[in-house]
Amino acid sequence: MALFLSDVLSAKEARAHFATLLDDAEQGRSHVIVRHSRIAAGIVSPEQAKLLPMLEAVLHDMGESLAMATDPAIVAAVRSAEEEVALGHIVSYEV
Amino acid sequence: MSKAKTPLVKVRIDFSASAHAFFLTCSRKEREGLLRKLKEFAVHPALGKPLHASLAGYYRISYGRMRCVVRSNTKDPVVLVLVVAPRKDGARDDAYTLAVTAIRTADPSIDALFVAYVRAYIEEQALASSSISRKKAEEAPE
Repeated sequence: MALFLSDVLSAKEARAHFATLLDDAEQGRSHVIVRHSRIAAGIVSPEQAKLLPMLEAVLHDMGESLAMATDPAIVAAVRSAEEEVALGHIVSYEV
Repeated sequence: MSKAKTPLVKVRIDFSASAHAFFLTCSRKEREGLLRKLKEFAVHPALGKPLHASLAGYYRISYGRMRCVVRSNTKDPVVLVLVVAPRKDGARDDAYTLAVTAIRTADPSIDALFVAYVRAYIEEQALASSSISRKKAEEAPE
């Protein structure tokens, strides 16, 4: 199944064929609705809808890590912390 | 996201001196939350969020606005915390754009990173849901 295979429709077309779009969505076919040449909405299957929060969370999480790994202050702090660890300057917890 | 029950196994969490100094300035809730997340990571390494570029080989553990850079010992359940720092203002808003831009570069290492984050998300959900099931079973009348 092509998970994100989508048909593009105008808002006017979507309104006229709304019931068909819902049937399509239930069968896994998604539709993108365009208004004034911009994507206004999408009608997707329940399975696809479940993936959206995951995708959003994953992208946010990954973006935070990318920002962190390119932050010179963090990179310098990690290098400095590695030197502390090499010198045995460690505090341990058992949890 | 996950409020998974902390595993019963004991693990050692080592802090670099500077990370520990900052850790002590965190609120009690943040300290407890971070220790819980660090322990979860020690027991379930698949929960780790790998870092990239010059921090490849390290992982990020977050609790609220606090973030840690950690590395783990593959043999023992020991986590070494190198840095504890608060998230920068606005960083969360920029994160999505940064990730999408990175994915568009079609860099295989970014693709691998994306897969690792999907895996970590799935593991986190599975851990949270098993914790909920266990809690329900414990609360159910005999």
